[in-house]
Amino acid sequence: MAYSFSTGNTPATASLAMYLLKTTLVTAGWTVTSDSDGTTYNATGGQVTSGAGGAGGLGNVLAWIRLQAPTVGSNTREIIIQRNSSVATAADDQLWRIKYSANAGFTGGSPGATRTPSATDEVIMIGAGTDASPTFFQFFGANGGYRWHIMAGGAAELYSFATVVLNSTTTNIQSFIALDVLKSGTYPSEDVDPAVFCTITATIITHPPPSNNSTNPSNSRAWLGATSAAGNSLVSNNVNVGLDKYAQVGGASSLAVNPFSTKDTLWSPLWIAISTNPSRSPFGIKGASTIFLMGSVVRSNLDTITSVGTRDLICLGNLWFPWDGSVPTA
Amino acid sequence: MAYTFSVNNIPLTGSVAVYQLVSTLISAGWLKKMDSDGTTYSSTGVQVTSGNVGTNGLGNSNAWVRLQSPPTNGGTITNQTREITFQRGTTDLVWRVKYSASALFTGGSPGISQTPSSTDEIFMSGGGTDASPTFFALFNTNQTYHWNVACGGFADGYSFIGWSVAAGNIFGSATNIFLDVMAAGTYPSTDVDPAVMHCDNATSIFNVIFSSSFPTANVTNPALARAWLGATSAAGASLTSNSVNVGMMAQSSFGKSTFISTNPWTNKNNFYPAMWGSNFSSPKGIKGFSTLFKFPAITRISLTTYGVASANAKDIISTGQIWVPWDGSDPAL
Repeated sequence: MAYSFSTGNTPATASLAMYLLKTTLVTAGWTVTSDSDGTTYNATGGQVTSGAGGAGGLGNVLAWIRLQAPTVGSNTREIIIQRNSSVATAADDQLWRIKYSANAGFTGGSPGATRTPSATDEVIMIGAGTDASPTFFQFFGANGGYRWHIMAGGAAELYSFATVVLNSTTTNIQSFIALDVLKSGTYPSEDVDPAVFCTITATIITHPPPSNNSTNPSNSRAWLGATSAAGNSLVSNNVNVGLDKYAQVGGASSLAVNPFSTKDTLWSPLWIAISTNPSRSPFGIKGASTIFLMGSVVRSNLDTITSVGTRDLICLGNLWFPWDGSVPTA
Repeated sequence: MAYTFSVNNIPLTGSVAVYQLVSTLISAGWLKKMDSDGTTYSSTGVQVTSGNVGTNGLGNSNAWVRLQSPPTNGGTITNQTREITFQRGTTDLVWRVKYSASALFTGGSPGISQTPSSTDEIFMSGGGTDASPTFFALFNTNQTYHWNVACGGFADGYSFIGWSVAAGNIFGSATNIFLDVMAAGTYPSTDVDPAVMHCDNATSIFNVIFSSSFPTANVTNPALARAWLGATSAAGASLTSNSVNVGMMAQSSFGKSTFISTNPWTNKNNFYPAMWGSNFSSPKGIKGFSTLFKFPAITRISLTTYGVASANAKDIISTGQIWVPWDGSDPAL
């Protein structure tokens, strides 16, 4: 697994945390295509060079970064992260707005010092409002109260990534962001965006998977991309999906280790949208995860497994995430 | 899927049905190592050439064949060759089936009415001893069923299935004999025999072997779906016993009798491999994922076909709640 990691961080501010995400994604191959430190806009990126406050920093009112993933298949995915509009209190640093574009790119709108560009296929994952008058969502907890772990995949992982806010006291997931580009062969070639984008403020697995859409945060969304590119049967897109388990094993259901290897059996879980809400479409099987694994034994948060390399997987919220080999600390 | 098929048969007898399975396995690469037509024994497997009665036929009392798969790799044993013996009883309906994971049927005193033995053999159907065998009614009344055989090649681990459907009764699935070699990467390299072997004759067999929970106790004669086979001596330190019943499990939210949806982009059914596992005290856990069987996103009635490779390929067929490879023809009822 050619992942780039930044783990065990205790960033002093959420702006520093988000800047760490940006630098780790860039290390993994992503590009900053435009940005602003809240005062100066740069149409080619390069203005934001730290997570601090002041010139060149992300820790300023309405500072933002536009990130572009390397092209995978026919998709060049982009995300935008924008900081809150206030600096009155420390908590103001914890509010963010995140947008995702499956392929159209953030090339529209009127980007500027305090205004993000738009994309014709954009989905607001957290926050709301308009680019001219954005609103924000509290994605982070109190400064110093959490660990910030980042795992950013390379070409082999289709530039999937995950970043987790882990409560330092309970070791539970407070929130996380993930782009899970689906495993080849587990989705049809007609899929406009074979990926799931997540901005969640709870544990990732819910059973049964959601039958309704949630907004701000949008949780795990799939069937994104331009509606105009949808197939005849796809009358809408952008719905919440969840990771499905097996009836007796996976998620919070424990079975056993493999009797020969005495190791946990791991598999790539399926993202699905269930069909109990006929007013919502599409539903069905989206595809299998690239970045997450489900296991045959329920483990505790921060447990690690030596799979291919030493401590290369970590248990967080009943899922296994890629890990950098370090000994995790609460 | 490089499967070899023989489908929509209405065999005259159970012996003809078994011989159709034997000949299809041979077409897929298996070898007939020994056999007997009940009168003459061949240590090189050239005596039985049909499912008929009389000389060279399998349709005689105590006639038998010993089959050997081509070598496969992935588990502990390099170039693992699995073997099966089929022996007819006094009628075309009753059979004794034994399975060897790797030790081979090279022991015992094979002869005109006695099968060889293996140090790791498992009775799948029938009982007794090789010298005094007993049999199980593996087939229903002759000519009352369609008999379908699908035998995988190298890419499929030489998995195979023979399954019958009662003529005129879409819900009347009966005989099921299969070897399901686990999909690569879904079991540890320390597994002595990454496969599941099954024999049964029941109308609702797939309800028996898959449910919302894995089996916790063994049944015998027929043995149903067995796994963690092979020599106990080769088992890992944690594996204090072997040969236990395993079951197939679907996803929590769909599969088996619960549907979810076709894919919204293609309007096609999605399929995913079934998980095998057991809930015994030992061995317990996930065996691996099936090569042979797939669960659907949408359940369909038995004998519904579908195209996976292309729209009209009819390369997979519903046996009720689980799907197996098919040859592209229209299934007969």
